Amino acid sequence: MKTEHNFELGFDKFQLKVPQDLYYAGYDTWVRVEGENAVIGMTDFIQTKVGDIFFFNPVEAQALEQDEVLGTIESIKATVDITIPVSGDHLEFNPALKSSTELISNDPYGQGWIAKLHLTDWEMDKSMLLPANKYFELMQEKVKNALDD
Amino acid sequence: MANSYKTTVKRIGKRKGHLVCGNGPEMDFGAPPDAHGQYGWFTPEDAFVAAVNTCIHMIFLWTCERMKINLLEYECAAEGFKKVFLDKTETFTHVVLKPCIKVRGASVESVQKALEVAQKYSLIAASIKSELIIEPTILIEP
Repeated sequence: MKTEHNFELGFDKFQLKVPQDLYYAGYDTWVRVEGENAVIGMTDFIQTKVGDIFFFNPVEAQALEQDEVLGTIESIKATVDITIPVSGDHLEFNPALKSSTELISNDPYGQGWIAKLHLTDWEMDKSMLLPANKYFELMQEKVKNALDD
Repeated sequence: MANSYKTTVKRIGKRKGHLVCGNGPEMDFGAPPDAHGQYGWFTPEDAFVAAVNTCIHMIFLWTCERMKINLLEYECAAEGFKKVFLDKTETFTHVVLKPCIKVRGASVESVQKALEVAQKYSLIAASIKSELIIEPTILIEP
């Protein structure tokens, strides 16, 4: 299903959103480019899959390369590494997540953002990312696989 | 992960049966005294209230572990309240849990959050149509 701004998949009690204006890594993180900077977060699919999130533990770093670990989340179901979809420096984590990790679940593409950074290799990184329609297809496969498990 | 759970019951007396649970335990059961049974028998009503109480217990323990809450004690009284309709059909309208919880070094808010999460992730709580009310007493040890 495609709404004005999102691709959406409804099943069981869920309505998973994939905003059209973002880029996605196959490992379920998103990036919103704002000039030379970017905002990064977890997708609706992965935050739903891991369940209620209690802790986000960021790495101690000022700069990271694409595919490096950005931090770890601890949820009711699992402890999962979050991988960064783009390279950058001047890394800054969402301070609200120190006390309100539920923001990731409640608003994964908004107030639940994980980190901001200055992009250092966007054109190369972009070639490894998926546009929303392709990630939506991948997400549907992941949902099917998860439900078949 | 199991997607189904089994039990078997067999009649062993006029108002009595024998239960074999899929996970191993076996016990006799019967009706409660108000339904022509006897005191001392394990009853379906007990099983219903116990299912809620034990499931919340187990999920709460798990949630405390995940939230890194140092749980010292947990004890919970549960009571199911039924309504009898004009045609003598009955339903459990609500189940009240009164857990006494003692933790060390955690806040009241975090324990309340753990209870909310336990209720959300409890298979039994999510499956019943009775309202589930949790009235905790929370003690914090420094």
